[in-house]
Amino acid sequence: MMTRAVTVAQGMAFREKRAWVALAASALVYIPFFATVPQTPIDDAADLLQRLGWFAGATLGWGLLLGIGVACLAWQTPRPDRARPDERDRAIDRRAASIAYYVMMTEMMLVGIVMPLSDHGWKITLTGLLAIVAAEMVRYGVVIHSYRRGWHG
Amino acid sequence: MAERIVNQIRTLRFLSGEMTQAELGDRIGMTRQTVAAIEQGKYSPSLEAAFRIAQAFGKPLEDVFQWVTE
Repeated sequence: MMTRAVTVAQGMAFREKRAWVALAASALVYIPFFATVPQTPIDDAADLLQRLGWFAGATLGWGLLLGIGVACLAWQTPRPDRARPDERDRAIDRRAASIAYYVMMTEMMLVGIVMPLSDHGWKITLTGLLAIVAAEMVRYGVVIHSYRRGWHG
Repeated sequence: MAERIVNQIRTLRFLSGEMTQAELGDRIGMTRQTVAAIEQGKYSPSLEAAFRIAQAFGKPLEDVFQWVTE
């Protein structure tokens, strides 16, 4: 099983591996964050700053994980395989961005139009942050799916 | 009725002095993995890229790519 995993990884495009790292880092950081951050209304300005600070910390942690992961990938990947994106890489990027855009639009309609009618400020802010993270995870997922299953542009 | 593009790239590579996917990729400006994806039918190259591939083998386009109806 490990041999097969290594073989599959060797056949992967660099940008697919990078998407896997980004998706894994997002899951590792943001799932625990959104599962544990308080959803109760904000008490005062200090409470708001503290909660936003947690999100900033989570994002920094995500950036660090991503940076280390991509650096390790780049170190292991021969330079030709890390070349400038070719037409398939660009086509897959476009597809992923397009789908993530529509996911984001749908989420933002929920956050900006539906939620203000029934929810308090912090919950709306938190859902907005979740929407951004979710759209990014969708983008990574589409990149991975397009490389794995094929995408004809 | 399913229609798809098939190609003879793998065969033509072997007939061209056992050219590797990486070597073909270098000639046409693509990565080795993209050449592999084209061979496996997971990616359809652009028209320009298809012409570059045919030129790399010194063959007409229709000898490299075929449109089949199954």
